[in-house]
Amino acid sequence: MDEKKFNALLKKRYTPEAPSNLATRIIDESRRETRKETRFDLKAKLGDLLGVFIAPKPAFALAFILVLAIGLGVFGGDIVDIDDESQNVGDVSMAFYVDDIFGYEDYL
Amino acid sequence: MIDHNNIDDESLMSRVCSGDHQAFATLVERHTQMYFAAAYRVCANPVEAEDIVQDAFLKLWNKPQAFDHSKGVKFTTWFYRVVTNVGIDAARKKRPMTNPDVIDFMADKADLADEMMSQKEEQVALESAIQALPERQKLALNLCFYEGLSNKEAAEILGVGVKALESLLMRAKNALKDRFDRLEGERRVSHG
Repeated sequence: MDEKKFNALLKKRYTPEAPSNLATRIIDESRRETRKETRFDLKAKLGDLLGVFIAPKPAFALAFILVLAIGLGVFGGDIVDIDDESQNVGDVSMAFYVDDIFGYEDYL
Repeated sequence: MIDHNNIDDESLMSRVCSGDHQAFATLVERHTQMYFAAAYRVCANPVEAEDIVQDAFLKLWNKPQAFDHSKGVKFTTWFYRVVTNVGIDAARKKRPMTNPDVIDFMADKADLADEMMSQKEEQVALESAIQALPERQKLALNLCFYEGLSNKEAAEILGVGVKALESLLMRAKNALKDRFDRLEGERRVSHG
């Protein structure tokens, strides 16, 4: 079959007209959907509220908490020590700094 | 009072985003026929085509932000994608396809005059052949040949490159040609 004949054949494809009231029906339906959306639905609102507290993946959440807890258990002490140490270093530096400016006795 | 009929599709969509129902109604009235035809070409069933167009427009009304004009996409191209996707989803959910036009044709066959019958026969054969194509080939043919979109626009809708689209189109046409050549051969044999 040559190209011209083939294209002519493809053009013969039948497509029906849309029903004349289809657009009106769609517009009316969309109005109804708007009303549905704006109406206050207590059940839906409560569901949304509860949904905030529900873990979406309980197994994943549990595993995450477990890893976090182990991590804190292993490294937690070191972190506190480092903080204390740096706090001490900070205090001493401050004391020397104040001493340089005012003299140690004045500061006391 | 604004006359929505003089506003282009993209500006109407900005208004729809801010809840302007009249803008939405104008879009529906402007494009229902065109997208009904597109939906019909996907499913070959007028009742299903109505549902597809309605679902697509309601999706648009409920989530107009999905259209992002800042990417330079035309409304009509973007909405072809929405209608096509709704059509594909519907086709996947529904039972194995029986073409109602074919059934009607078989029922009416006895009453038709020869000329009318051969015309209808040709149309039914064409529709069946197109519907039998793999999904993406069928969509490529629909978008480029029947909807008159450019290859670039059709490729965007299908989410493929232009080269891939051209390949789909070529395979679709070759498959149809083969089928019609075979049918023509069979007809010649049966007519002696």
